[in-house]
Amino acid sequence: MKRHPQIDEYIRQVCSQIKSKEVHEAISQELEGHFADRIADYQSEGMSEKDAVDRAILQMGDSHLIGKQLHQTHKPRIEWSLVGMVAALVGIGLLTLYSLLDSQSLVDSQFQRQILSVVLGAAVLAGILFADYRKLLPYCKQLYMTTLLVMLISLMTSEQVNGSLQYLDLGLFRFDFLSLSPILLVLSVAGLFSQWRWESWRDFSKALVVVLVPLLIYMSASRMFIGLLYVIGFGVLLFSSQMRRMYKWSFVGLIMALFLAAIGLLFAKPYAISRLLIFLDPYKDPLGAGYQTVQSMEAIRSAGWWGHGFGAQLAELPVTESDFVFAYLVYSFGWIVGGAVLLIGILLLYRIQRAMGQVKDRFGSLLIRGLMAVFFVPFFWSILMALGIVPIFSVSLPFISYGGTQFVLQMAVFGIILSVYRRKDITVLAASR
Amino acid sequence: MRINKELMKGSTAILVLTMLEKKAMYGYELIKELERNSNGVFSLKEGTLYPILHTLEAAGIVQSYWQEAEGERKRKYYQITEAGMGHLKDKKEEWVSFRTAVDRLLWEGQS
Repeated sequence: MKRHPQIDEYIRQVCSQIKSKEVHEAISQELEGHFADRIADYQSEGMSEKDAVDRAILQMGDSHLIGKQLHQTHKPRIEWSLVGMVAALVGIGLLTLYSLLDSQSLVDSQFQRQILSVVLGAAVLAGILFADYRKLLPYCKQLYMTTLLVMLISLMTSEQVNGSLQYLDLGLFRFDFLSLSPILLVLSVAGLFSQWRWESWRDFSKALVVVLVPLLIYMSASRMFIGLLYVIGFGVLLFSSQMRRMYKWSFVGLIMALFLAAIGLLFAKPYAISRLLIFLDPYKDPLGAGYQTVQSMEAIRSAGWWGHGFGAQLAELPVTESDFVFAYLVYSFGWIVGGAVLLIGILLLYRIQRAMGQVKDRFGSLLIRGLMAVFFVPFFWSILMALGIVPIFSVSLPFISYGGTQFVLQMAVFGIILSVYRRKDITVLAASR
Repeated sequence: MRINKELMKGSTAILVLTMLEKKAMYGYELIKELERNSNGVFSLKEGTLYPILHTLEAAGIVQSYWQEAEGERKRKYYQITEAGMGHLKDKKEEWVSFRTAVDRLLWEGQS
């Protein structure tokens, strides 16, 4: 195609108004095509080339105005309602931990560390939000491998706590890497799945390896819930992927078989199964296996609408700063605040669900779905567990429970979700290039 | 879903969608068709069509794809979506009731 300097200048002026550079190329191409057609038409009507170019530009209209209007459409957006809800949860969390500090269930240094994590988490969220999540895509394989490696290391070097393996010891500080790993794995698997073509059995068997290896590690560390969480996140990704339906269902069959086998293994240890199922009737053994459920339900029942007030003592219930933080939160601030936390969670889920439908980029949409699963399953599980509706696992309430590393990671998850949302209109064009 | 209100004002969006209901088209084709179908009554500044199309696309009312044209160029085609069909139906109904009201006001006294 012949280039005309006037046309190039016109398109440059349009683009100069549009801040998102990613869309410039697609828009230039579209406008160039329009000009070429218009000029060809004028010339076939007998106009000279120079006249045709001038007329075409005149017909097009004010370049600044068009640029400004296009900028409006492709402006990156921040979903403020999500930010607001996250901030509310973080605020309630800090208040709860402060109340625990006041009741001497938490020490000063722990609280200070949590404050530091909130500051760090907010910075991480903002940093990720303004970055382009698609830059992650090329590193997904490495991220997956590294996560697996660190999981293996923490499996081998850690000591047993309550029968399950817990901490990654880095000398200076120890943290529970295994419980963070599902987020990292789901993030990387979203990237892998968006790149695979899903045409042959090869991708199917690769997917099988991708789910089974981490699962084996979780099982040998006896981290049932985290394993379950990963399988759920993986399942969500699988069903959102381009895999053929037949393969999807054979996958489901396989995972079900594995679960049955795991449950079969549990039956070999009767005490484990009774601990798992005690939530059905905790009062059968209120001082033994049912103790936590009974105490948690009692704490919530006794709270009333307004709770026992700031700094209330709840010594009967263990781990009120993490697994049973919801029970403590209701105990001290009442059913109203507890209901608000549950409601914010449901609203958050609903808002992201709606935003998700508008994301056209495949990686972005997989990311949101997978990350939602690994965020909301623990969120609602932890609440239902405190209410005695589901079995007790070591599950902390995201954004509210004490725990620095997981807090920062949860903020990063929301940074990614917001970043996908923010770029959804930009990606449309860039992807269609 | 946020739709740029300035752009959605006026009837251009509804006309564009009516054109796209028949078949997928690229921008220039769309302008030619608009002119032809309205006997030249609707001849807009051509550039303003693209912000409208992009806004409709961001709102999920139309979707786009690129296709090779002659030479090395590619054309961006726009296609109405399921949601867009519903949107158009609503807008048409709105328009009909508006038009009926105007007709009644204008011609009532004369008949």
